[in-house]
Amino acid sequence: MRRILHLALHDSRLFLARRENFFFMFIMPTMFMLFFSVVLRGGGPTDVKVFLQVVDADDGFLSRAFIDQLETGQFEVTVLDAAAADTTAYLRRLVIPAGFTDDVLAHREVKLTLTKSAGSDLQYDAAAEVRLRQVQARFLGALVRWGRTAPDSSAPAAVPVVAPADRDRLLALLAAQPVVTVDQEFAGTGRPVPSGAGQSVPGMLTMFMVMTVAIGGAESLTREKLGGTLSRLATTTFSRGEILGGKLLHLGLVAMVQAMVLMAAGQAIGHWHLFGIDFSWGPHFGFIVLGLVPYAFAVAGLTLLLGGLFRTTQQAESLGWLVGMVLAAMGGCWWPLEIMPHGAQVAAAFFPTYWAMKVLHGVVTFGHGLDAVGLPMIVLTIFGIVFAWLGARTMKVSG
Amino acid sequence: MTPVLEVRDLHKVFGDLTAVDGISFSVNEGEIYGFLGPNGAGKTTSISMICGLLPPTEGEVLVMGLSIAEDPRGVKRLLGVVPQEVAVYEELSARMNLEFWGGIYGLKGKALRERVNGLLAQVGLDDRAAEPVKNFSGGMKRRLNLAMGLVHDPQLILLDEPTVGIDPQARHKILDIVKQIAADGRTVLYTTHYLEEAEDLCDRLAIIDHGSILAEGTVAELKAKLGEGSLLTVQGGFKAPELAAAAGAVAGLQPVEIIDGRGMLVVGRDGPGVSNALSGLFQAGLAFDDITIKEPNLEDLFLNLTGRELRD
Repeated sequence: MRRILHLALHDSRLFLARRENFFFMFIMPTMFMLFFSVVLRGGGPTDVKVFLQVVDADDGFLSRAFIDQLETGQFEVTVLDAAAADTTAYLRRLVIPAGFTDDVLAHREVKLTLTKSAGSDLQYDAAAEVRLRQVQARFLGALVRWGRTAPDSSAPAAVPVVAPADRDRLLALLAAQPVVTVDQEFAGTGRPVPSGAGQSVPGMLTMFMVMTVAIGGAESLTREKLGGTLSRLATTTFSRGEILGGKLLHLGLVAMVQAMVLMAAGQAIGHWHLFGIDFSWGPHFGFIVLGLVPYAFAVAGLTLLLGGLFRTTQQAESLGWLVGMVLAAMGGCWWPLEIMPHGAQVAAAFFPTYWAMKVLHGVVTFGHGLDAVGLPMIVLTIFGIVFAWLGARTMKVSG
Repeated sequence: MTPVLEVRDLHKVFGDLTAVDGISFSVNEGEIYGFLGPNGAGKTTSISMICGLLPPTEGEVLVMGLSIAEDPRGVKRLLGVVPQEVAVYEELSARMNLEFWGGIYGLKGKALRERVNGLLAQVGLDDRAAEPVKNFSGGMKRRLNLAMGLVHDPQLILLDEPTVGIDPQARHKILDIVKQIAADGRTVLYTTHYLEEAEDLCDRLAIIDHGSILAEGTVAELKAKLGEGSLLTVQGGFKAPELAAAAGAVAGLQPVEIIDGRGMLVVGRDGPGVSNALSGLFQAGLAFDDITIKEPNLEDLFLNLTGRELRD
């Protein structure tokens, strides 16, 4: 083991002696992480208004009060009358039926209809539903506090009359702090889609762990193979296993150092709220590190395989980039997997980046612990073993 | 006395190609043994099998009595390999390179520092020891390449064309270092396709081509295989059979190579003498445009053995 460590530390020193590797490891990933966190900051429907077309077939004072509540409830409302509704396109449409005000005042059941077009965004549709429930609860709460008694049921045809002062009292109740609020929370198997820094920080970490090692490591292995230092090592008392073990350990160490650099960068971004970004690694920092160790192993194995396959340093540089990009895209490092087509989501499971992202989202976004990292760790270890085995078979040590 | 290196009936076959075809030789302590042959003759493949990089298809390699097949680690500890390519870490300094390779063999602390300092001085790089190797000239890199093979003070040093691609001055420096290594009691196996190097450096030589040893011995012994005397080269408008017939009529004149328009003949010391030999050829009615007379060298021997020049 001492000999393997000797080789791994030497290779790591060599890796850092190359200025371009220093740039790729420290400067570029940090910049990317910061940039994407800023660009994606506040993304998703959480902080933006959701478009909602309202067909007000009632046009009574209660329907107008309800629409006012929609506008204060994070909706971008467009109001149409019933006649214009047939000729106007929409993403989401809420229909307030004729007689809404009278029916509510008469304590009769009223149905509001929310319709979504085929082209509407699922995330924004979900947000619209939740916000509509919130407005509904707020509106009903105010009505209850308004305290109007039900009209005489023996005279159903009578139209309730509301005095102006009484109307003003209802509007004041609607403007006041509500008694009942509806909070939203995803339950069961449904999960929020990571967005903003919650997506970009884990994504950049996962991507650069593979990019830095695959490009720099494969290029370095190819250079050693072509330059003769690898076969020179094989003429020493080091066995082939020790040489490849040293290379694997070095590559794994580089991957973990890259992870630590970006974890520190993510921590700094969240701690100082740089550019208003809100991010935290959460309470289970240790599980993140634990989950990333087999990922580093998988990345090291993959790089050994690439180093064995590449014939020139130019190949290593260009194809290393390509491999890193494909792994990042397919593993969900650039965008949430939830927005990818179903087939791509299934295919993602065959990429180690997917399992690394699963660790990070499980721990960081969903706040889980060991239960989130157990299965990914096993899968990533299997990836590592397979890649390292293939790499050992492919890598030509003896010139 | 057990030879430091003993190679027995070594073969290496790659598919249809026989790269090494049953070579056997031994090298004694303190000896510089040369492998002289053109590119592709099988020199590097032989070295690769001797140092354990390639498994032989057949045959055996013994270093100080230890078999590389049975005890590779034990044998490798005794070997210092200097590959044909400059296998150094360009980003690191000369000192760092030597320290790394010394560390590979378990050297550390003061012993490593002293050894590295000594080597840097020996190869003339002590004043540039802290500089990245990528700034070095080709000759300096070659010297470092050599020093890296010596850092653990091996018993047997395998040098595979260590002077390829460098200027005469740098080559001279490397040859001096190799002589010094041998003078210190180390054994050297030296491959080259440069005749002058082989003649100047090696105590004994094997001439190798197409994976086989064609001749072996000291430089004097090898030259003697052509016969003592002078080498006569003639060029003119004659046909090969005409010259062969004329030479056959002159006692003591041995043909080395004869083709249309050109012939190489050895005039034995006990033979007719150069003047008489030429007279004999003229009397046969041959006319020459150019006549060269010289002492035979290893190039001529190689030509005699293979029918082609060493640098073909």
